[in-house]
Amino acid sequence: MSDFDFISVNTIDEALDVLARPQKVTVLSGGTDVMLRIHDGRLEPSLLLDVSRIEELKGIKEKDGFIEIGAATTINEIGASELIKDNAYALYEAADVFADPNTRNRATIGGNITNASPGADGAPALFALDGEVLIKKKGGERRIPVTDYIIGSYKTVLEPDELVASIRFKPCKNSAFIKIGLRKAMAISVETVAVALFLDENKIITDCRVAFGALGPSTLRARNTEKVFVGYTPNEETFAKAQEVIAMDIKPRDGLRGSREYRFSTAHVIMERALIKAYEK
Amino acid sequence: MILHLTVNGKNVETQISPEQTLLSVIRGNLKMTGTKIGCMVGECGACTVILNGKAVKSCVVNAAQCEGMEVRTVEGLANGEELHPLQQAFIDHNAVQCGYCTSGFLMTAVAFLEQNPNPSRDEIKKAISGNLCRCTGYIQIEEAIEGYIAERDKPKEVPDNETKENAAEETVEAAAS
Ligand SMILES: Cc1cc2nc3c(=O)[nH]c(=O)nc-3n(C[C@H](O)[C@H](O)[C@H](O)COP(=O)(O)OP(=O)(O)OC[C@H]3O[C@@H](n4cnc5c(N)ncnc54)[C@H](O)[C@@H]3O)c2cc1C
Ligand code: FES
Ligand code: FES
Repeated sequence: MSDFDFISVNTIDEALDVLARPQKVTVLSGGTDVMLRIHDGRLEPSLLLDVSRIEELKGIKEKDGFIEIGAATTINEIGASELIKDNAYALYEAADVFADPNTRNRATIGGNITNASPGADGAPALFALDGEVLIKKKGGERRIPVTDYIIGSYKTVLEPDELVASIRFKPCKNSAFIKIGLRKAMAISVETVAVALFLDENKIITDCRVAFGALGPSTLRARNTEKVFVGYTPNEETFAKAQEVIAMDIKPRDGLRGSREYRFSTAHVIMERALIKAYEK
Repeated sequence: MILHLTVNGKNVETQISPEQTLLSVIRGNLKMTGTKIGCMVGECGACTVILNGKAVKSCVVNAAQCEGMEVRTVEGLANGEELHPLQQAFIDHNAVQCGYCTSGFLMTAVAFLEQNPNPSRDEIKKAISGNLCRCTGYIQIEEAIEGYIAERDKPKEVPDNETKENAAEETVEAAAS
């Protein structure tokens, strides 16, 4: 017998009460990260809090001009949503290449950004869409940009007594996601990019956001590079300019999954491809 | 803690600890060994079962989270001595060599075909992309799934020794049901 406990709750308020207890509580959603960490000894919980039965944490809806996704919504639910396909194509594409269909039946979006692996497939799309994370605790809540939520490799700003309730973003008609992996299914990403564009009636880019995954310690926004495209269209000139500034944004590291040089040159290439794909949607 | 499950239609009750995986409950507590242990990290699919209608990798599913749920394993496919037609198709199409991966592929395919009864070859490939097979090279497995679909959709033949009237009656019954 193990020496820790398990509790399952049906509402956010009940979950917040449990999280407010003085002991260490580990939130358990789909469990695809937590169960692995328990079994290889990296995680020793004293209390597992099952949030997978909380209906308020599930589903995708339009609200106040935003698309809002409950934290316990599974990757397959995201991939099957017309609302996501129409308004966040980058996230739809990320869901389609995420792990494999059976893992996607369990894995949730809240778990993905909270696990905050450098290769998390859900993160680049949410970074590019300017996603905001709604975080709750007993007696309070805060909403922060997802770019401020993930602060490093497997690091977020979530406090021990807090729960991720949902993630929201403004609908975007021109977005795309590209993943280069070592093999098709279940590839832990070598490199990913997500692009979100807003265009005026003349198809000039009015807002551009580019996010890379698996390039450095955590998902990152290419804030200098994306500015190059504002006021223009994706063309040879803007791409050449982007190639000059991209070094300010990304500092790829050597790793098992690709050398620094390989990662640097592919980053620029997949960004171009994603930009064109998003632009032409 | 006590876990209640419906396993292949039967209610079961078993004592578990909070860190146990669904796989360890099925094999250890319930002594049902048709579900296989492979990688234990969610990569190979040997442990695939159907949980509330969805295929999952039971080695990364927390068992306590499954309280009250319905689990289907490979043991539930056959009808007594008669194999499930998908099992038969795996045999007919040489989709089984060592067989270690087979129960996982079967459960993935059963859940997938319930959601998408008439898939394309590409959709089949995607559906089984989380299951690994070291022996067959996948082609035979894809053919087995397609073979099962073809067999399932074949118009039922009327045995020669039945009269035409009998056959007509049967058609009427089938249409009515
Ligand atoms: C075989 C396999 C393949 C994988 N492939 C990929 C892949 O291709 N791409 C990818 O990005 N990931 C992949 N992963 C990793 C994993 O599936 C994802 O990170 C998944 O989204 C995690 O979600 P979960 O619900 O399972 O998280 P859990 O394991 O339940 O939780 C993960 C972390 O988030 C916390 N948490 C979860 N929900 C909340 C909440 N609402 N509030 C506060 N904290 C919370 C938990 O406490 C834990 O720290 C893979 C995993 C496996 C096992
Ligand atoms: S044993 Fe579960 S996926 Fe390999
Ligand atoms: S038949 Fe041996 S692993 Fe698939």
